[in-house]
Amino acid sequence: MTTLRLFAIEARHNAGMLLVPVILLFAWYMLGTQLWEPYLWSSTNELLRKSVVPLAAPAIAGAAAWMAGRDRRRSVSDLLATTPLPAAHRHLTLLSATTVWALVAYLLVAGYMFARTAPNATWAGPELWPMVTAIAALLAHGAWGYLAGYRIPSRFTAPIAGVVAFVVQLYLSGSMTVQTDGTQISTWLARLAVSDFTPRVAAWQALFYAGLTGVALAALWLMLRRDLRRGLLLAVAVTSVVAGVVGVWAATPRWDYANNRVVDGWGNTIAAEEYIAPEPVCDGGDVIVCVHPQFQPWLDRAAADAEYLVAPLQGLPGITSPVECHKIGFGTGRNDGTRVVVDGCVDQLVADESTQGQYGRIENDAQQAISVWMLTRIGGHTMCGMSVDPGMGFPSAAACDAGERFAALPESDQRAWLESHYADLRAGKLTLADLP
Amino acid sequence: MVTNVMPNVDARSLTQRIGRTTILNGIDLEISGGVFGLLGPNGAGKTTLLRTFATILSPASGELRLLGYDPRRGAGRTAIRRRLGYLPQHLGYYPGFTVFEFVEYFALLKEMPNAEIRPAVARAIERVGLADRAKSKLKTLSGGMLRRVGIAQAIVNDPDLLLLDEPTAGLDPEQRVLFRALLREVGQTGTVIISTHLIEDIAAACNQVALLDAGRIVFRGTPDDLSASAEGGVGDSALERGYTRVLSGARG
Repeated sequence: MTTLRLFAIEARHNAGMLLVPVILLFAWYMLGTQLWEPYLWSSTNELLRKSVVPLAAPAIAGAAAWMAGRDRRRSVSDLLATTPLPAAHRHLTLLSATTVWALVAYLLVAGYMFARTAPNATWAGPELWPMVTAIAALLAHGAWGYLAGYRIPSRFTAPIAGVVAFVVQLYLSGSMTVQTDGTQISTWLARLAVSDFTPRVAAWQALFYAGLTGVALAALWLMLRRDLRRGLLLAVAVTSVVAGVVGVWAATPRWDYANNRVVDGWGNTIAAEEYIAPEPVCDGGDVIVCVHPQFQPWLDRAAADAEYLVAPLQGLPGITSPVECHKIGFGTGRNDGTRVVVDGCVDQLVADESTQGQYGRIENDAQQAISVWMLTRIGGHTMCGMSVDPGMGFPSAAACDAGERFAALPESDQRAWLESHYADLRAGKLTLADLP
Repeated sequence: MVTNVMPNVDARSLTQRIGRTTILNGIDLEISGGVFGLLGPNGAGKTTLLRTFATILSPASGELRLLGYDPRRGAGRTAIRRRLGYLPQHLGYYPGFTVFEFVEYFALLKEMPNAEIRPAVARAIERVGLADRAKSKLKTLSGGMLRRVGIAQAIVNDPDLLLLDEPTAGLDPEQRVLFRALLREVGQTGTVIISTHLIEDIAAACNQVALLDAGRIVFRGTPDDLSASAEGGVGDSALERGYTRVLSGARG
């Protein structure tokens, strides 16, 4: 009861309380610009991790530093020293009353995002491990900020603690390594950042941050009074930090190029099952469209768009029945809502796989011209008029012109040409000169 | 309620140092119930002695027992602090707290039983005449009012040992009179030690007085005893003359 009442008084007069509107305002801005349809659990989970915590954690470190130095700044230390309640108890209450505000703000944002996502999302759910890690990270930042503020009760400690926490997180999350194929991937160090997350390392991340909290608290207690019990607590906490770092290092997947496999830090093969995508959901009649289950609400629309796309080609030699349309995508925009993108299906319709270049690029001019026509017909992006490097798979100006000419033909002429040239077109045997 | 079988403060050869400077030098002092006044010039060691009695400083050497406990031992120190009230010379405070919250905060830190806290806080605030300002934030109070808030937090747990360092500084004459009455009231059930420069406080409220100079006690007796040694001293009152006479005598 004493602790609760102390907590209530401390929480009411706490710099941490000022953080709530700041965090909520920032979250409102982030959500306003990044959280829109489709409401997907994957997006929500990522946004919650990457937007709220990296701001809230440094802020709470600063607030905790400010509160920790309060007694000495206000010259209340003498008076407090004459009270029987253990100083560690008092400090823990003040620290809790400070960090609770960041946790409240974080949970409010999480609750709001979950409430927005849950009614719409059709696959997966909220990820709890990132939340555990986030809460552990908030507590760790609070504890270290508090320790800094207690040790150096200056007015400048709070902003410095906040900036240092932000820079450390920024450094960790930006830790990348370049692979042999030129791509960049996060190193194991990046997995220590609160904004980074994979299910494999989540528990170790949480242990790392819990250990950091323990180290800060044990160090604080040792400053108040040195005894064996507090020393042991420090040892346990340091062990937790080390175990967390080793765990994150070991659990982070790496490519073993020599053996073409994914391994953990010890060199053990990581089972491929971990990376297999969920079972897709499919719909359609003459044209079958399959999508990731989280896009199920837009499946009907995708199937209809694909049906319209394929319609002029139905019955042509080489067109199977039904057509399985691949590469269905979804575009999102703040004002547009979710847009079904069937553009990718065009590639498989105009070109055999064997004629496609690297990464499935269409490189034949005649195929590109027909592709332009099909995309124009469905209002897709033709990529015509874009200044791009040659070899990127975008249509040339001549192909664009040819596509537009083809689009201007009567449907009967288009059909007649396709009936006589479609097989050669797909085989990559035609040039722009063969187009009408 | 404390019986007078054992003195509430029992210091023997008490020494206190800050760095290499000796602040208190072989203090022998037994104080039982009542109001005890500590007089002395600036730098005599009054505040250091009070801070030592308040368990903020641990004695450098010598023996000290407060309320029957040794303040150097953890359990004893905790037991003393539960029955202690302390008003420092310069009261620090949290500007955003209300009067009630500030006093309640210290009641909680003094580990008072939960059921007793709210009525005890209300009573303490009433006793210092701030009942009508209980909900005011501390930053809105005058210096004198803040001093009374400090007194309220010191007496909220009905302490058996109440230590007040310059308690009447900043109080207006009316409040000073009320405060002396409060001191006498608390002194009936426990021990009050006040450190002050104001001779009239000693005359009006204290039944015992000690004069401290350069870390040593140079006089111990009643205010009347001090007044009786006034011959040859300077000052407006007998007590002041006694004070200056004893001091000059101690300094040879």
